[in-house]
Amino acid sequence: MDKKTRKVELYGQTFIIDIKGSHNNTWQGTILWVQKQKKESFRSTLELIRLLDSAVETVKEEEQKN
Amino acid sequence: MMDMSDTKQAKLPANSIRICFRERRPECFQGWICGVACKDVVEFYDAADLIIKIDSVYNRIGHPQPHQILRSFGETDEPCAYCGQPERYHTDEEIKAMHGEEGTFEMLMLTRHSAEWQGMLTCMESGKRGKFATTLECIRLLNEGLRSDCHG
Repeated sequence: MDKKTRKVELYGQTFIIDIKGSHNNTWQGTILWVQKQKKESFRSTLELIRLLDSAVETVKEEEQKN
Repeated sequence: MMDMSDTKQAKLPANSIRICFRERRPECFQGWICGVACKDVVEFYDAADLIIKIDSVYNRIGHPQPHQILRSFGETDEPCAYCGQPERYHTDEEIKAMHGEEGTFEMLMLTRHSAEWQGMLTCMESGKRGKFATTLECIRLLNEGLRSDCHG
C-alpha cells in the first residue's frame, strides 16, 4: 500500500483513503468505502471527516431499520 | 477625554462559540460547545466529533455560511441558508460563565471557504490568540499551540 494510502476501520466498516495532495494546509484525495464499493473525492480534511461520519450514520440507520 | 460610562461593552458575536474541555489529552479529547446563538449545549467525545459538531453548529447558526456543500455517502445535504442576524438564545453572561476544567477557548469563525474553516481561537485562561485557516490548524491550536499557557 502506498505511503499516502491508509486503511481505516470504523464502526465495522473499512475505508481506503488515498491522499493525493495537501494544498492550502489541508488534504485532497479519494475515499473508498469497501463494503459498499462507493468512492468519493474530498477537497479538505473537513470533507473527509464528514464523509466518514456520513458512512457511519448510514450504517447506524440501516441497523435501526433491521 | 472619552466618558467611560458611555462606553458600551462589545457583545459576543453570534459567530462565536465557546469550547469547554473536560479532558484535553491526545487520547482523550472531551467537552462541550456553547454559544449565544447555539440553542443547546453540544457535547463532543473526540477531535473528529468536535469538528463535526462545530460544523453542524455553524450550519444551524447560518453565519458564516459555508461556501461549498460538503460531499456525503448518505443523502446530499441541503444548502445551508445564510442568516445575517442569527437568533440569540443566551445572554453574554450565561456564555461567559461557562468554563471547562481542562481549558476554555473562544472560537470566532470568520469564513468557511474551500470546504474548510477560517477564524480565530482565544484561550480564555491565558488570553493567548491564534489564527487558523483549516480544521487541522484549529485542532493543532487547541491541542498544542495554545496549550502552554492554558490550564491542562
